[in-house]
Amino acid sequence: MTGGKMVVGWRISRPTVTSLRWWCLSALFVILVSLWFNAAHYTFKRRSEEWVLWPVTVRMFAPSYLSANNDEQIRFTVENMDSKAVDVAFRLINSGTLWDFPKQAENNNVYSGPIQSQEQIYRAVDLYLPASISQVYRMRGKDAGLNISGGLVSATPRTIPIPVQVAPILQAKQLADYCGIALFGLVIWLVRGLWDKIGERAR
Amino acid sequence: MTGDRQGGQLMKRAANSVAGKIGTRATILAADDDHKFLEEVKEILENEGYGVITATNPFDAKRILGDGLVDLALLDIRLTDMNDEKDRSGLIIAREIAPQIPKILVTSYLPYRDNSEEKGLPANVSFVSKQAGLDTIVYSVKSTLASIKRSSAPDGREDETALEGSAEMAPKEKPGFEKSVRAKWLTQKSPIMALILLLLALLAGVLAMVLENPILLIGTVAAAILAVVLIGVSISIE
Repeated sequence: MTGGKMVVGWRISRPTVTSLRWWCLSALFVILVSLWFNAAHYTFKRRSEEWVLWPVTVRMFAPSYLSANNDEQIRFTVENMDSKAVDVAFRLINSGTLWDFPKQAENNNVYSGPIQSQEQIYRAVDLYLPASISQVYRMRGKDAGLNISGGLVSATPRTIPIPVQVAPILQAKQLADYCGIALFGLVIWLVRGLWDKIGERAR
Repeated sequence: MTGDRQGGQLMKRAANSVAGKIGTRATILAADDDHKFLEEVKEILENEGYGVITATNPFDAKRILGDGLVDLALLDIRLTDMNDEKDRSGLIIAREIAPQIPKILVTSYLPYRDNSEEKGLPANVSFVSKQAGLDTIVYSVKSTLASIKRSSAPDGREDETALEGSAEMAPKEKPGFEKSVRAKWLTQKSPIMALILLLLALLAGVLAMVLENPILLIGTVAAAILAVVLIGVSISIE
């Protein structure tokens, strides 16, 4: 009660030099949260697919969005479902507008050779997609253009498009990591500051 | 003895200033970085009939004291940052700026009183605890102004007008402290506008994710920076 008037509810105090620091930290927090959520959205999503090319079954596990200018990995398994051994050959083909640099064994072979009955072959293909900011932005909502091509050596090879896209943010993977660390530090800082303030008031 | 003589001279000089205002209200500078407390002090002193000029940082407090526009100053010791234990800005102002103006150091940290830093303060500087409440602060203000009046009155009688203030007198802003309506509006509204901008920044971030359009992140960064700039501008106006 002051001067016959009671202050009810809360209000934001007028800005001071001290509060400017808090406003700056809040603005930084909002920026980091937004950047991290966006980068993480493109980084943590994964998808798996299965294609049956009798007598073999090809399974794939890959990021839903490939991060341009970062190392990425697509994992494949090729399983022979037949009762006898078969010879197969599978390659990763790029028909998209971005280049891809396959890093596994310095070529785009996923697997070529015999597979025994009920045998499963595992291969991880490392990729690097070099791109500029305008290129990745133009590819928003479109598939990256990667295909898995092959099948039995004795048959005509089939080409299957891999349903992964390119993240519209450059180096999304790296950005998610850095923003995550910075955000964690900032949250610790803010909580510590608030804790000190509460302690000060209590005293 | 020298200190007493010096103190007496300072009281006389202050008394001359206040004596010249008999019939007009006494003006008090209230300086504190705690806005809520400052507003409460301002309100209660204005209700008592005093004119109150406020300052939220040492620079404004120095400027106002330096201009000699007030009869008494209520100064917070930690004027720059209430959480900084090393902050003595109010104490330094009390010691160095306008020694003829009596000052009351208002603080939550009364151990300052026993501190050796109290030495070297002019005789017309006194202390009052924030915890003692607003009534005690008002009492200290009245007592200090009354003692100035007593030292100025030829027969040593107390002048009641100084004790009561003069609420009936039309409030008159000191020249140089008038703010344009726009500036005042900006100062008052800037925190809420900054908060809205931060919410918009967050919204732009969410939309960028939902619509998978990272261009919207530029809006996030721009709105957040604008919020900080707005606060900075309002502080500089304040």
